[in-house]
Amino acid sequence: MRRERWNWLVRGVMGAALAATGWPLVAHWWPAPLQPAGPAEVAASTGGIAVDARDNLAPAELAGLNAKYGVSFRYNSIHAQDEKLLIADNVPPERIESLVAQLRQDPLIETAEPLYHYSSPKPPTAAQRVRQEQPSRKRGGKAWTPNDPRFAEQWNMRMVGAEQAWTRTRGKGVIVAVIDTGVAFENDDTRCYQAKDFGETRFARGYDFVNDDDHPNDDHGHGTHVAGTIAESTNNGEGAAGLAFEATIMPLKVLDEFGMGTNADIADAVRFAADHGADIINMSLGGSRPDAVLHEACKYAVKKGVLIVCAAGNSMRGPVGYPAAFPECLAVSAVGPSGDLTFYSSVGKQVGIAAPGGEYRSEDERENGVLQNTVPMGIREDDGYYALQGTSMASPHVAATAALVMSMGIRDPAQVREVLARGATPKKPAHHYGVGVLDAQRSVQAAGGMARDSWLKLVFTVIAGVLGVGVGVIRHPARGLLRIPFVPLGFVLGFLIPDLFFGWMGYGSPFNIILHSALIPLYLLWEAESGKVYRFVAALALAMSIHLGWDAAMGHAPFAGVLPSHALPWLWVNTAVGLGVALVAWRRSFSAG
Amino acid sequence: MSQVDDETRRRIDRWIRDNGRNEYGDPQGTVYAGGNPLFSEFTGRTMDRYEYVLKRHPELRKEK
Repeated sequence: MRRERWNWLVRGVMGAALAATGWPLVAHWWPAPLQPAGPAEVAASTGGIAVDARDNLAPAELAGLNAKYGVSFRYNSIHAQDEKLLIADNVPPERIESLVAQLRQDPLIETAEPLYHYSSPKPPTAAQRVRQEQPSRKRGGKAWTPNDPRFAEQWNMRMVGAEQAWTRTRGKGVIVAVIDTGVAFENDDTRCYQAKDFGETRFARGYDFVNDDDHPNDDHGHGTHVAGTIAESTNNGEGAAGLAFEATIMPLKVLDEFGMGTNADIADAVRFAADHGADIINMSLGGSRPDAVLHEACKYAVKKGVLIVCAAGNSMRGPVGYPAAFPECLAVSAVGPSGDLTFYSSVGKQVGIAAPGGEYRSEDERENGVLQNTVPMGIREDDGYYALQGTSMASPHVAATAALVMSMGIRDPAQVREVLARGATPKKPAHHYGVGVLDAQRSVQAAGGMARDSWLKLVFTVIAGVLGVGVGVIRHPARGLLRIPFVPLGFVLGFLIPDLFFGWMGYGSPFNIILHSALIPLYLLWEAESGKVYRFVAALALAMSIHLGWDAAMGHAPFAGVLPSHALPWLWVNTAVGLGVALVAWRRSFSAG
Repeated sequence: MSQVDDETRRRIDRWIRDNGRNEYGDPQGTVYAGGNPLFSEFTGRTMDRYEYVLKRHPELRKEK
């Protein structure tokens, strides 16, 4: 009796210790409530409402909504028809709050928000000459230096180890959506002009959500500068370099010539990027309030395997803005050439990582800005190289480094974030720097290590499995391959399951805490002792079947980058097999017990 | 250092309150890069909040 009590005490202590070690992980995944980043008195609407309606909304139901609420809903763009993203303009300000509340209760509506405006600063009017910058520190390893004449002024590229990273990858095959004021990417004598250092840059089809056309050119200058940090044409004997210059830019214009836009356009662009093959989204824009429509769009994109990188904001040590503060987004704060946080950067617990954003307080210090090509206001005569500063400049450094990492085969957004964290130079406090200061060289090295690690695990597992089966066949030749090789099977599964599930459920899934623990074998041992292993297997198989069947019925593809229609056969067949396994195991539990 | 006198500041704050504007005197719901329009990434300049409001609404310089 005493011994039994002692056993329970030991088990209790062990369980508590295990739970205690898991708490930091659980706390990490626990979602923080969304709060306005700015003062509470910031007002809510601009005379419009953005609505994310149910995806199967029929035209008649849309007409019914118009009649019911006395407003005229229209699709935000032609790309919003699939997602049923609607906006209503000219809503009287006094009606907005109550109307949003009513719409949120409507079963046809998923989310409703007042229409917000986003903005970026006005561009300068004259090209800037920046003093030649010397390398800030020496790095080890092989390096490759491009022949762009103004590369020497790009201290930011040396700070992140671009020359070393480029010996391994330059971002080929990765699409980065730049959601901004557009990009000066195409030549048209009458309407638009391609910036002079974008001639060799690759572009994917984008969209102009401001003017609703297929020509997302930049009539402001902000978006082109941001795109330049990512993929300005490099080693072409002209201008400056981009950090992932073989990546493809998807220009998405959501901000007008004044640098202002709406949450509906931004949400629309996020969904467009996710649906049209973007791997990464860069948003160097934001506002002080969380917006449900935009948040849903970000969740949608992340679910489709897109990494979202956002500028934390320039609130001068104030709170992180939105969308950067959404948990789905990687918020980037800005450091200057010294590696210390800039005076303008926003700070907060949502900051994921810091990157070079430039820092200067007078014209004499322009060399400390981030130099890229842009065309202010789309005026051909002003096409030149401008040194800017801001978290808008820091964010594309992270997006570009993520493109380098993805081009090495690490495609899961959470896994890319992990690689960026491994590569970053640690720096405190975390609410200023997140995991530390971005380092492209070490991130690329970490990506290489992670890819190699996966292959080694696979090779090791296959060899162990084959050897195990071989030994079984040699020891029991009469039973041959038909004998179930429990020992090698258990070994292979035990070795592979954590990583298999983590690829399946997502690298950032909280369930990984269970898969990367001894809980499963412990539970199996306990069940084996009580003679109930078959019932456990039956319950496990039944639950998995329900899970798979639910995914199939809802049209969810729990695999990054896979279309739901391609995943359905797999899900349905495995649901059926799982139900069969559950039935067999349940029946055997009675004969065994 | 702000060049705006106390009386003008009070007038601006009252106007913002009476007209339901946000703290920067812009229309309701206007939000900015980083939640702050007082810092320009292009020029590196920062601006006093009241000066920003007056730049956008010069009519507030004098009592009507």
